Amino acid sequence: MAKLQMKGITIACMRSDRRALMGFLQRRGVVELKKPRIVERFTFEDTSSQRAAYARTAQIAQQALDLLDRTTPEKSSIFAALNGRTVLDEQEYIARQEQAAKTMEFCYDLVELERQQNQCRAEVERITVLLDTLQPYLLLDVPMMTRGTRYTTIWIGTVEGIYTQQALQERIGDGYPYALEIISTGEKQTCIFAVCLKTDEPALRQTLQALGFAAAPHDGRQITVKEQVRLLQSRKDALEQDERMIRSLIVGFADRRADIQFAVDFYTMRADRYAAYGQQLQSRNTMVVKGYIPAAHAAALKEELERRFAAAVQLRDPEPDEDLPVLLHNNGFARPCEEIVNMYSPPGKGDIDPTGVMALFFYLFFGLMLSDAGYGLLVTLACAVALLKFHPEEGLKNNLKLFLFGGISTIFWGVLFGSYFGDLLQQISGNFFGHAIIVKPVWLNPLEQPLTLLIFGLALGVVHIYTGMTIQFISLCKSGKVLDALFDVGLWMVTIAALLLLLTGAAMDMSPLIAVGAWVAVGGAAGLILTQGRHKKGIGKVISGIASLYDVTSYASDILSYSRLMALGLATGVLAQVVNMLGTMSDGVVGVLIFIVVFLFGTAISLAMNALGAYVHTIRLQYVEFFSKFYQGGGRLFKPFAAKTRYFRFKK
Amino acid sequence: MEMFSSGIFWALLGASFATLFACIGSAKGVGIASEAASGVVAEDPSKFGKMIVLQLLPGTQGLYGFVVTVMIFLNTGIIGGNYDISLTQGLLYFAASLPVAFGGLLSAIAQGRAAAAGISIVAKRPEESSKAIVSTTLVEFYALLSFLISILAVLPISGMQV
Repeated sequence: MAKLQMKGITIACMRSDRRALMGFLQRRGVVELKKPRIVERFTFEDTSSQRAAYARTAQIAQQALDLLDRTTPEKSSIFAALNGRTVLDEQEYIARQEQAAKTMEFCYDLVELERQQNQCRAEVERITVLLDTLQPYLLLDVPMMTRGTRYTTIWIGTVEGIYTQQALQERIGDGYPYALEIISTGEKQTCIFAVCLKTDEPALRQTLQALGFAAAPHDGRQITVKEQVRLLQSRKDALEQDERMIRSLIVGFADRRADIQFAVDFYTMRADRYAAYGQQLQSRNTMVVKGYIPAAHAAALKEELERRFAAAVQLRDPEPDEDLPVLLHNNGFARPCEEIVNMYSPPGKGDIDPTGVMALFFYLFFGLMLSDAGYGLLVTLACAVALLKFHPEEGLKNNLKLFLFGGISTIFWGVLFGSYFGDLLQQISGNFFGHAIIVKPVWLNPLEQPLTLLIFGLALGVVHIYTGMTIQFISLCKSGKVLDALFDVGLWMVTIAALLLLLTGAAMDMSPLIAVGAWVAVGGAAGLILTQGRHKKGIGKVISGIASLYDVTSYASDILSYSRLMALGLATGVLAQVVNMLGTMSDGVVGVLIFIVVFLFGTAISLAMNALGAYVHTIRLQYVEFFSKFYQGGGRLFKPFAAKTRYFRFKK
Repeated sequence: MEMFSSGIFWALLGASFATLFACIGSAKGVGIASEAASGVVAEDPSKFGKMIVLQLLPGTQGLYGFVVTVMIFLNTGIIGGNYDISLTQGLLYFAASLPVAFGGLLSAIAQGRAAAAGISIVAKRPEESSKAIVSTTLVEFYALLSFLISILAVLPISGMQV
């Protein structure tokens, strides 16, 4: 339970080694790089064009991979995600590195295939639309582009609205000779063919325009519509054939998937590396890298760097006021909670690492709120199986462990409260076997003694808050502020303890307790009035002193906040019982079947809701009630220069 | 009206209130949060997992109301058949149901709004999702208190000789 000690590291190497050295640092992933200030005779190398080129290469590999995944999705079970990225060691990496350029040729092929595929699809789409527009003219037996003969003018197109031949003829009248045919009728328009003498053209044009005539589009070829449709159809078939072929070509690359995945990661890493050493100082022949490294890794890295490269490595202890990155390191029991601390805020300069203490309370409270041995067993088993059967990555592994320990704690509390999927055994035995077996709780049944549980929850809260205050007390003492520790923390601890004593005395009718509690509380309050205004001047001293007593409400509300421990614990038990009761409403074979369905479905919902509640409320108790007593936060998380890969990871 | 002098009427009314109002609140709250979440998921489907927790948080009130209703059913014998309770007891059950009914109703809606605001945090800065969740949980506490008081009030009534 500690913040890892950090060392400043300065690496000087030959400029010719810069790529290899940065690659090595990236694979190790233990050094956080610092952006240096410019000094005389050193400059920054402009690597932006290489970086952009490699980023583009990675993007093309990704595009090829996406195409492959779309065309032939990789078959994998949902549990495969538990295994995380494929592990590579350094030899494998170096061996595969040589293939990456070759893999890129496939990627370019794939991207080209994608382009052709898109082209085919667009063309097929266009033809389909064209065929649709030709459909109404299928019965026309002259080419679409026909506009007339030597003496006649011909109109082919649509008029708005639906007409019969007779209706149209009535509109045109019989002032001049013409011929009109309806080719087809659509939903909102009528396709017509009309012919008249050239001399009568203006008259017919006027009539047709009034009807909203629009000439049919044509492609300038002297072929009939039927012929045109036939040609388009065969072109479409050919394109679809092409597309199938392209598809099968893409599928042919399926066995290259892993190589392409490697290329994505490889070129992404390369782009990152160029970006990183573009920010390091370089002279004509040397490069200097500055940064931070956890002290535990420092000596080994120094030795390896100096052995593998022509490099000089200098380690130094950081200055007291340096802005150091924070990396937490805890034992296996507490480590899963590091993430929760970091989500709040990594410890700041004056803070200790709260993970260890917090972990204990976290598991305790989580279990108390979920509080059912059956649910706990389910959670524990699911996490244990995932941890043992698979090889999850660090982040997921920690989360699984968090719920594993939380689950074990849940079993513990469930046994104390005699809750095994609520009152499952009692309901089953009572309903299906006619003799109810009642499981006795080891400690108490929350439904029968809710008040005891409430007081127990509040008492745990007092312990939690006092732990936080004790940490604050000790750390103030350690930093030499003994008076602050005594006045700001110690006096409150005494006063609250006295008030609690007073309350207990009043509740149990014990006058000695009341007397002691009252007198000590009065003493504590007097002390607070005298000391809390010590940084103020004159009359302000007394006013701030008295005003500080108002803080007692915040301590009271903090303690009452722990009533959620009991409320959520009770909710789980009742909900589980409701599920059982709904399941055992009928008996016989049908009753058993109904029970199984209701029980599985109900338990899934109940477990999910209650586990969510337990998780969220435990975190709240840590963040709001516990951390506020001693924890500042505001630290900066250690972000090493490392491989940010999607498909592969390096062996530690 | 003979009905109003029957204990079981008041008990059942209380039981209905608990689920009715708490569920209205939860439906509204989850609805508000889900509308906001859908907007985010439309842009970035991978955020669904982080959203679902925030969407579900205003749903607990409905559950609390439901639990209180079932507790009233069990203690009065509405489930089980034998429901011989006095008028005073019935009125007491009704009174006991009020905190979770109205505390649940209003806190779920408020929590839905808080969750929607939290969702906008997650949309912009997914790494801060725990802060959004904790902020939303601040409202949850008041639903929990309402639930707690309703349950504590319901449990002893069946033993009272009134």
